[in-house]
Amino acid sequence: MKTATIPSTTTRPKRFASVRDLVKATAANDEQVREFDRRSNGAVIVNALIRTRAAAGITQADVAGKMDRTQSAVSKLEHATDASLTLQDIASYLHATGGRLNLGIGKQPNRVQRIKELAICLKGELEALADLSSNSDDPSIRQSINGFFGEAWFNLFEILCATSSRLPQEPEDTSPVKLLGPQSACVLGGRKAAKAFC
Amino acid sequence: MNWQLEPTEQFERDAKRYAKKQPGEYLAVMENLEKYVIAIESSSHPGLVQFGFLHEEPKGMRAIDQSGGALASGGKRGELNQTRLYTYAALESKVLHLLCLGSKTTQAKDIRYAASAVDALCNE
Repeated sequence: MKTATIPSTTTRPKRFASVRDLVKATAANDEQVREFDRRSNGAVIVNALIRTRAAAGITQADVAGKMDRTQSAVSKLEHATDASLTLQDIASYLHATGGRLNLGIGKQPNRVQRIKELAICLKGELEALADLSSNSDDPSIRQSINGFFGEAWFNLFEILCATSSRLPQEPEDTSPVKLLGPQSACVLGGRKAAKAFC
Repeated sequence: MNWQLEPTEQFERDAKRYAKKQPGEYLAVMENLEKYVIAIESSSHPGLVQFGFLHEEPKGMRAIDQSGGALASGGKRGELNQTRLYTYAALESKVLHLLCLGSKTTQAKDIRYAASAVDALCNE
């Protein structure tokens, strides 16, 4: 019989960090835990889709409207398994929730190519942000973008210093720029390089 | 910080009983609970989260039912009995209180119990 027991304040109540932990504590047997895992692992993409809808603060009906489907179809999609989803389902759901889909097809780039690609992306984003600042009449927007540039400059510099400090030291280093670490700024190998850097 | 789950002793008893006697309903509700937790962790407010299996109840409680879903194998779940898991989301502490679990026939009694447990939580 259920009686309204007030949660005890003297003993700390049990808390679980995940539903899986809760299932582990209450399941009748290990097979039940494994079945829960199978279902959970079979819906990793579905759950990632749900996250985008929740983050956007929209309902299944909103998503359905944008996907040109019924609310019940969206509900079914959110209860489906990853294996049953189509790429079109994923793309149109993400389009509706404002989520992002990154899909890369092609030869795997090496690390240097990848860094170059990221640098090009970074350049494009920074240029767009700089344009936003220069075209904005709002001083608070300009101020926060300018502040962000300072922060980004510092963070990128720190990343370069930290990673280059792991490089082996060569006896005859001909590099025009040496990055010694975040505290020591940079030692420039010549006036031309200094001018180019600053 | 992620949300934590805090079951009442009553919930633990109910869940263990369901796991033993009605494993289909137990797993279906747990699966829906996981979706609900995933959603509230991404949402700015748990009240904004909406699912077909989620029902508004008195005193800000929300009940999760057994509906929806497919099996990992791709097949459909079999016919399941109406089941309700009563929850209460404490926004400040980011704790999702799991109050009790019951069937359609015990619904009125479960709601009374869950509401009194919420009162007790709010008076703590």
